[in-house]
Amino acid sequence: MENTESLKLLGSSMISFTEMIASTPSCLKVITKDGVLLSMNPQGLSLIEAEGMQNVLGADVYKLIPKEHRARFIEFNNRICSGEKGNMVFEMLGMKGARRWMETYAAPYKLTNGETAHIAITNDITKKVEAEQQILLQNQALANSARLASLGQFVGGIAHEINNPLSVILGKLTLLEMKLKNDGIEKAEILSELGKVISTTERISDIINNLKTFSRDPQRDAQKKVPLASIVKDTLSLCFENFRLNNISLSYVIDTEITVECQKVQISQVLMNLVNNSFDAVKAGNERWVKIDAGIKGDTITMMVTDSGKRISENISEQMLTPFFTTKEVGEGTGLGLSISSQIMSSHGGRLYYNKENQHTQFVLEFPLPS
Amino acid sequence: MKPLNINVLIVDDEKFIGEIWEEIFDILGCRVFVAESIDKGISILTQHNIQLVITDLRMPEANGSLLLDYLTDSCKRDIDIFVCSGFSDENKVILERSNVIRMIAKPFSVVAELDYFRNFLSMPRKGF
Repeated sequence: MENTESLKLLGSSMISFTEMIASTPSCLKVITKDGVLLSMNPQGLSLIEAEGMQNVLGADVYKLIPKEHRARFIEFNNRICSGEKGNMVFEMLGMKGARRWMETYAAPYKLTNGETAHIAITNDITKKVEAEQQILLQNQALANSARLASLGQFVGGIAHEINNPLSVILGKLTLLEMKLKNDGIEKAEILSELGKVISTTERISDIINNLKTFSRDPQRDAQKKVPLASIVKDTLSLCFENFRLNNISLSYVIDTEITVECQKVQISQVLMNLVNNSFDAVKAGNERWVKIDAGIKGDTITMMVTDSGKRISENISEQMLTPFFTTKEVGEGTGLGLSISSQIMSSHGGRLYYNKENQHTQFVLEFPLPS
Repeated sequence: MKPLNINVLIVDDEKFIGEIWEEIFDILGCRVFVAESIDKGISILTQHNIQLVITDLRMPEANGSLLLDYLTDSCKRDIDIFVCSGFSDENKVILERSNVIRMIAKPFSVVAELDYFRNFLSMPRKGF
């Protein structure tokens, strides 16, 4: 009891309520329903870069909000002055031009003239927002690296896939030129050889187009409705040569009617990553195959990537979606493929999971049905 | 071109590349056998007196190195062996394999290869 009394005495002697508001590290302010500034504590004045309250009393607060945030802030202020409580994050432009990210908690406040104003505690969260933006950029860069790394595994196969047809084109055309110079060729033979050159050129064209699609920055793409079969066909065209050279069967059966709403490059990245993992897992085995199929169950589209490997042990399957977890040798795997794939599926409103019920190794991609 | 008494084996799973080599050695007056797999290539080697082999390295079912092993192990040391590959990192095969004369990188020039093999075949050879 004696202790409580002494604390009260200490509190009242030390600080008045006004002093407390003046000393708080947060911005405290009152603004009218028209956005006119009525009161602001020193921390707030410092954030808006004002010399003193006398310089900003009656100022239009909306002018301190950049255009891209202004309409949202006006709407927020209207809601608070209509009696609601709320919070929002916005950017603010100081009187000397500094931009800051602010987070405000606001409540209605009755003025002596009967009007309802907006009273708020606002904090400068610029550092937090910049750190979040930095992390987002780093995650995007990481996802891009993982995507290009997954492509890198097949670059050898792609070089072979391109150098072989280039040899055919160069060789066939050179031989045709030699024969034409010597007048030693029939029209039918010319047409037959040109037909081979044309079909071979188309092979290169297909692979380059798919390579271009896969290496594009997915951040630029909007979500579109895309037939799932076309994503699978284009992605696997980059891997087929490597599978063929390693005598691994790679097949897919997907109904051409199944369409998913997605960023194609990102789903391509998920598929390439799963197929890469399957390639590594089965290449040394006796049974060597990878199959992809898809179906619709209720309001979910599922795509299964199954390979001839055995089930993954429980202690590995529990950890494999964790970033940097890998069972590959140092330098062979980043440990990011599955975790980034999982993030990509979540950002599409779907999910990626390992199906432990299957007797082989099976990963399942789930997509919501497009609206 | 005057026929040469030389049998050439081409092993490449790309049919049209086999056709190109066939024409090149046809022009040079050689008898050419083309195989689209290592198995078929080995079968031809057992049936015919082959003096020169050009093989791809990466093929489905079996790797071209198997053919190089076969040529080393089967005492067919008189055969001139060339590797023709689309992979840029396979020059090391030449360094590791003393029995490979030269690596031919795809895409190759028909004119350059015609000149090279015309010159090569005119020189005294291992089995003669």
